[in-house]
Amino acid sequence: MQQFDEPATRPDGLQLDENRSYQETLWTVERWAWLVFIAITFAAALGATGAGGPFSHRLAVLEGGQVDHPRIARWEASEEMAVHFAAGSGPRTLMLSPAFAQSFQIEDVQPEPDRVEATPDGQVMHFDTAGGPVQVIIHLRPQSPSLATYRVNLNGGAAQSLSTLILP
Amino acid sequence: MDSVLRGAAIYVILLVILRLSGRRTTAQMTPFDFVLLLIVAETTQQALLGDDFSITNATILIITLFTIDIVLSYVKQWLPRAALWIDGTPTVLICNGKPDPRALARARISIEDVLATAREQQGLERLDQIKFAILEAGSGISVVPKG
Repeated sequence: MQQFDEPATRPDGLQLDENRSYQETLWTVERWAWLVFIAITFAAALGATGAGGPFSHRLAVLEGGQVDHPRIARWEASEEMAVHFAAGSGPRTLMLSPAFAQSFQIEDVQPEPDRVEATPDGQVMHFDTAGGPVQVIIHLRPQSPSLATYRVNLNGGAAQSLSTLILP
Repeated sequence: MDSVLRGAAIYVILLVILRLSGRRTTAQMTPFDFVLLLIVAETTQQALLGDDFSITNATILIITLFTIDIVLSYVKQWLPRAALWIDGTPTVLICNGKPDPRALARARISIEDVLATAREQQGLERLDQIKFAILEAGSGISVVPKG
């Protein structure tokens, strides 16, 4: 027959295994954890966990314009990248390195590029535009949790390395 | 693999958050706490499934969650220390008719909560009829009346 370890009977007559020192420690840990919960809530509201908020995006200044890209994104959650081409004339190009395609699925590009070219450096989108500043919005979906580092250039200028932390 | 990892991650995250949120959360459930629980369930469901609504994914997830639960029940049997961490320990709130103010305050349980349980469980009318009140490891309050 199996032997059972019975809890000891306390002086007050209650047969109970109360581990008060552990419970006291847990109560203290709980209260620290609540502070962490509050910190996480505020950090999330500020965008430290992606999906909007001032910390979730970063504006990179490139030769030929600016790229507003997600600094922190979430796996499989929709994201947006805004490319602002500086005022100028002639066709505009946006180059995204192969590492970009490995980390993000491009859901759509607004306005649609007139032509997309595959080059050893990555995909190059050509936009035939009139003069003046032009904004292109790319809707993205991160494909796997990782630190995605990719290179971007505008109008064939110097490429800049950008990174996005994709949270699980 | 993805389904198993998602299931395991959500199980551990829920276990840690529920343990750290304190037992009061589940011991004295108000209507709003119930709504909160429904929201947590809905949120968890989306994180578990992702965009894969196949029967295969659901089956793998259910099996994963039950497997973790069964494994943990054995771990708790083999390692009493792990049982303490996972399930917690009972806390005596009233001992021989004397309330423990520190235990009540730290557990965020009021005398009214204890009295309500005493009425529901034992039909007791007053505090002086309670011999022991214990916040059980399973989150409920149990009341022993004076003999």
